[in-house]
Amino acid sequence: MKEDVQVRIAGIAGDGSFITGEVLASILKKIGYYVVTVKDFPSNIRGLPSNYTVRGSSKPVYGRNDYDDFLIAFDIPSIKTHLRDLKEGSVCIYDSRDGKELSDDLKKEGVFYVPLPLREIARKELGLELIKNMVAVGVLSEIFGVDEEITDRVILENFKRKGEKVVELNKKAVLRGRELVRENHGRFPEFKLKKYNDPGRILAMGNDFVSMGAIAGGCRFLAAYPITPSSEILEFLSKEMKKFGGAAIQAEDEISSINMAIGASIAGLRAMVASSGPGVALKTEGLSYAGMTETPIVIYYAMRVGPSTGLPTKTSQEDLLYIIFAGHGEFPRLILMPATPDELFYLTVEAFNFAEEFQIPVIILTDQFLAQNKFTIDKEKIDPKKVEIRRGKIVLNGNDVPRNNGFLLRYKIEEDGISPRIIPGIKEGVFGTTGYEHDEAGYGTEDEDNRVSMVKKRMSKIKHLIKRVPPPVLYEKKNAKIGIISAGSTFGPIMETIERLEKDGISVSFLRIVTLWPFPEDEVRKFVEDKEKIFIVEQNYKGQLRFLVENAIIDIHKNKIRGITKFSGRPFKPLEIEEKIREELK
Amino acid sequence: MSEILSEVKVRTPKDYEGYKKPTWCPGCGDFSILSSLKKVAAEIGLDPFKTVVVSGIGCSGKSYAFFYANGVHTLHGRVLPVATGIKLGNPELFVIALSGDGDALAIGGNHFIHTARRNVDIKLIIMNNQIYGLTKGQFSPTSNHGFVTVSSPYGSVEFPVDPVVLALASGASFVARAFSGEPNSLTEIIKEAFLHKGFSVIDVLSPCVTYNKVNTYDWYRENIEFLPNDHDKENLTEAFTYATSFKGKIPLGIFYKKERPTYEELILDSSNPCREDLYCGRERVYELIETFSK
Repeated sequence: MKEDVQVRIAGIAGDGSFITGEVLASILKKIGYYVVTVKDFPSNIRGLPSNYTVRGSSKPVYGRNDYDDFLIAFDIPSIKTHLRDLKEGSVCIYDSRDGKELSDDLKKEGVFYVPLPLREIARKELGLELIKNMVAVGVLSEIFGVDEEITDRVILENFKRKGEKVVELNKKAVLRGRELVRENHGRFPEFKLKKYNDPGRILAMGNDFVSMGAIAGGCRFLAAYPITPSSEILEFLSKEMKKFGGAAIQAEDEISSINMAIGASIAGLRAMVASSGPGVALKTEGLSYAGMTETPIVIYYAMRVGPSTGLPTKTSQEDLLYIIFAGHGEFPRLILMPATPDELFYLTVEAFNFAEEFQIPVIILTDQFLAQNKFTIDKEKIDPKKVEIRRGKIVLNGNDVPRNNGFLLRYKIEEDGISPRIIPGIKEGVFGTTGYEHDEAGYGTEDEDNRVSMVKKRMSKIKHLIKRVPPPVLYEKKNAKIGIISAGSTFGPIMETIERLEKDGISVSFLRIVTLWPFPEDEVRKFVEDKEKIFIVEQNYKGQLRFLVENAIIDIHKNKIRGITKFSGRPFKPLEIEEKIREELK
Repeated sequence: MSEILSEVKVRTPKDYEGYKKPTWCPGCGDFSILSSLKKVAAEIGLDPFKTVVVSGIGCSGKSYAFFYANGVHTLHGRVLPVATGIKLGNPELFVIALSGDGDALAIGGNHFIHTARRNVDIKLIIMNNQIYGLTKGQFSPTSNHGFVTVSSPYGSVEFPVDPVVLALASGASFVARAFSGEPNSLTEIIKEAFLHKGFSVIDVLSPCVTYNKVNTYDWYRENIEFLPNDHDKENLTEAFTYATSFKGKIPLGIFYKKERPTYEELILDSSNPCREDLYCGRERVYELIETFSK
């Protein structure tokens, strides 16, 4: 009985690998497995190679495994591409249209090859070649020993909006796939999955968790320009926001979107934008303006591969240093890096709280892997009732605020750096706001003393902010001499690596950075001190997190640091981290 | 409109004096625009607490400090996106956008087109002096072909954009042109724009006395002419015809005026996000969790 299985569906875009993967993910969830998906799609609608990996496990998993147990190849070139992820005992099911016999370079020792006439069956028996992918779903369901009632339900849920006819045809295709296995039982390997009861876990993509967090957290305004991998936020919220009297709108460009959100925030709303590297590059003048005007704003930033257009649909952590320093001039900001579905939800809520309480821009920093892949989480881990909304020093009556010549002091100097936030439209009073250096009433002045006190006022927020931000999460092993430091989506493979090393008697402690900025220097320093070796795992070339860590620790500890980086655009596999650590410990 | 009128006090233009005294050059056309704005505000009894003046960068951008209302001084070119955000954030606010020819039509050109298309209820006044004043005299998108400036020493090779034609083509629901040197008609036009619901564009020819020695008060007086009284303001074709050819003169007046649903009405379904309970989304998240856990 298998309790951890990984299937890759590969073909060219338009082959239906995506829907096959989605259906399979639902099926695995329904037999009580934790699921994670890895979509690997080109920036293209049809014709280029694409693949979709689904992993199901009886234990929570947040990343892909080292090898695939199954490869469903809709074409022969896909076998070639993904051969390296097959190992002894893996099964390669491929469409026999291009010939049953594979050339030697496509064969790997110990891999079980099964040619099936998927297209032919779909075309001749079902009258629609496209439906070959559901025949493949049927094949896998039968091999896994999934009840027909479950596959029927998943098909219904996935296709009911397309009408009864489509549902029936898809069910028929699945059934036909099952028959293929039954008819040729000897040709298929035994691969039964253990059955559990589905406790009704949530299966959703990272962007969905962020969108739900935004709604629960009182966000009432989103302006965005479509960009991979954050567009799903715009799509989700443009459907949902209306239901709460808010607005989620598609702006004419990235620059407009952040300025619209700033406008909405000035009017008193919790406002956000969603984008990725190329878009955030255009938004930095707005970021700087939010910094100067102390306008609360939440920027959701899903990193993709750069520079420039880079690999638009692939994952990276290349923009850590960029977003820490983006925007001209000096101003406080908060950058949060969630790693799990519950963090994607709750940190989004907290992003709005911190933005309003401290009147600063807050960035939720994710990447394509977290943003666009699906994860399961136990339902009770996300409870909207636990959401707390803290609006900070919002002013509802102008008479509560001192004035200068009738103008309310929106930028009144306060010990904690946080001034009364006046919302236009309130009784008795008006205020000004400007990107120019300004006086307490919010009107431009070049006075030298004023400049000094305003800079100090804005920057003094940092020392108060540091005390409040989410600390790093420490996964501690007693007396571990080896440590890992990372942030964000590398969490899944790191946890699996640690588990594997532990089995061999190698104890590893792990410090996961949640607040990237202000950087948690004290916690990092403390973590590094009693370790002999520190591995910093991140998805970029230069070692940007390493730069931040090295900056935080004293010189004598720097020789302990080793970087483990990956910048191919694909997420880490546990083995890639494990091997590098073992090699270093030899 | 009624909700933004002040409840009690009879106001005078003086009541709309801002935080600062204007810092424009003596003789600048912008003084006349500001004074017309105050006159109209007093006449209709505009409530300063419920009004937001949004301005950009440039000489025009300074105006947010010269008028008694909430003032938002934005980035160069970003007047309209910020104004749109404010209007969507609280549609009960009366939003005036003050911009220049460079601010509205060069760096902010894209936003101009799309705000017009959406018909957001914003009153945009373009203080058009056909030059960059604050940066000391470079040519602007409305500078005439051949115009010699510090950045076009051989004469500008570019042809100017006509804000009126662009506004009409982009779908603005109120389009007009006025001249700083004709304060009475300027005031009348601003008043009509304020009473119109929807994106209103007024291109105000506003001489720069320091850097533009060509398009002076006298030059404008010789080159302008008012639209005839019988012009059908609801007729877009007629508006285009007048805007593009008018006896070789620069036509002044209201070219087009026709109400249609505003962007915020369509997006918000008459709700006001500012008045919504921030916790009201939580129940919906429970429902969403259910759909994701099926």
